[in-house]
Amino acid sequence: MSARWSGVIVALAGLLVFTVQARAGNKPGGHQVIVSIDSVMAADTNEGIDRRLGAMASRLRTLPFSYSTYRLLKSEGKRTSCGQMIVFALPGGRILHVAPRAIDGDMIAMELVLFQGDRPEMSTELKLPNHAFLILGGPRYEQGMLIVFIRADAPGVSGPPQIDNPTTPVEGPPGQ
Amino acid sequence: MRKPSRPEGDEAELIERASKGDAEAFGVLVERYQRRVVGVALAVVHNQDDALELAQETFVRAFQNLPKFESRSSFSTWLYRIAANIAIDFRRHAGRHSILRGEEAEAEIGRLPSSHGDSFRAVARSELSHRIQEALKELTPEHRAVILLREVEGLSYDEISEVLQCPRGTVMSRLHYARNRLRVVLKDLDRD
Amino acid sequence: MIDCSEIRPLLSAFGDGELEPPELLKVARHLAGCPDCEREAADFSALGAGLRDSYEAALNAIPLDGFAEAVQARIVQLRPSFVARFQRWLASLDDQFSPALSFASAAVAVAVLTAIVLTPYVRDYMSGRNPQIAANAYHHLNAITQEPRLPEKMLAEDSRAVISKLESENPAVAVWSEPHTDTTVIWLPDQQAGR
Repeated sequence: MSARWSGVIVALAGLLVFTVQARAGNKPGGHQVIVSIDSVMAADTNEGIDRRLGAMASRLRTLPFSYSTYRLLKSEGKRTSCGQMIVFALPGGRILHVAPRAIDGDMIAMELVLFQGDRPEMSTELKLPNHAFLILGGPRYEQGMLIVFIRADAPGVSGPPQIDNPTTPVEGPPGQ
Repeated sequence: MRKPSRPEGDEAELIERASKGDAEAFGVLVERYQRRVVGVALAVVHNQDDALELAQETFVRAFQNLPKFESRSSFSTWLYRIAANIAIDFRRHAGRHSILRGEEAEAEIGRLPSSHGDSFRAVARSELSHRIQEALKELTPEHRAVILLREVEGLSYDEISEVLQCPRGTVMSRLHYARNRLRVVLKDLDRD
Repeated sequence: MIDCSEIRPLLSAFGDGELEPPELLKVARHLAGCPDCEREAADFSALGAGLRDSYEAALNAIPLDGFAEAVQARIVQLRPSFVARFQRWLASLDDQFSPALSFASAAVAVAVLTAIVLTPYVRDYMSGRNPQIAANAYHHLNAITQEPRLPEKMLAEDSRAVISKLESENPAVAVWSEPHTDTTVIWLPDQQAGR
């Protein structure tokens, strides 16, 4: 095909794409995403709810299984970009792979793979609203069970209506 | 790491001519890549007749879309992408990619077209080959595609990412998942 | 000593030569002292060889005589797609118009289209009505000062995820949306667990 006419078509198409992107506030691929993982132990040991859990405590109370102890085990945040996988080591030996794939409106498309040792335990593809939690729970941990909050934040992307978290923010180790 | 290669020499000329409608030039490309395209389709759908039909469809679609092919990328990667998409779509619409375990998996394997299923057994050179073919049925089409593209076609993760249009991290996770799944299934088949 | 659970998910990529140098070194050092992981890496290698044998055998059994002819027969019956015909028409214009005329025409077309498409947007920008960009800038600034810690003001009210695919070996896996908060929950109980 003629290079000249190709150039014309590409220029027009690029102009239209740029305009549409600018109007929609959309971000092309490679968008930065911060993935935060908070691992919580739930047990019937009457220790109460760890204050560091903040807004997560209210989510825990709504789960079908209620416990007398919720303790924050580990908090970790990592920055990545769409298309890049990051790995989290969870308490108890499980490994979680998180790979954000794309930003779709105010949703973050991602793939999660959970390994128990060398055995893949679960693989899922999903879209999560920006700034939202996903809860992964059920595996046994010490005297109770492990509940993992997985959250994705894409700076510069709009999200659903937000609420204030009235409690102290979690102080986890710095992301890598 | 092997990088995708641009079409060179006579292949670039064949592609240029075929993109302008030269069916004879395209025929040379078909003969050059037919075996590998059939291989990709076979990996996903696991049936000889379906693989041949889907491979034909791949080349027809490639011919129609050749004007859109940009010669700065690899022609084979582009062709594999078409083949993988067609084959995975075919499996999805046939409703055979959902999570299957235990008795459900056995029943589903029994329902698969069996007219050429014996060809796998007939030509398997070793017991391991046969068991691997059985174990591969336990994987989803996407996982079969990724493990074939890596193990048999020798594509890099970046190339597989381009073929399957998914992130490199997803390729890495799916490969690890598929290999572990095969190990587990092969161990289970060993015990049976 | 690095835990095996951190190394195992990387063994696949290690065998494929796809790890970055720091991770490559980490895995190589671990394998030198861990027979279990070394055995698993060897299993993957053997699996690969078995797969190649298996597929080569299956492919060799498929008769490809007449395949190219069958493809040709289908192609001959095709009518070129609209895009293909348009592109071939464009290619034919090369022979009819001089380069100068074609570039000039293209420049005029681009200028006209730019004016038409951008005018409403420019009008909005000049009048200050640009809440989308303003909000994005705020989120970006927040992220720089606070990440990677949880930005506590930015918790979504609607947390419902849209799951397009879920695969698991666990027969008891369950997925639900918590009705009060729309938080999506994926539950993977240990199969010996009581709850």
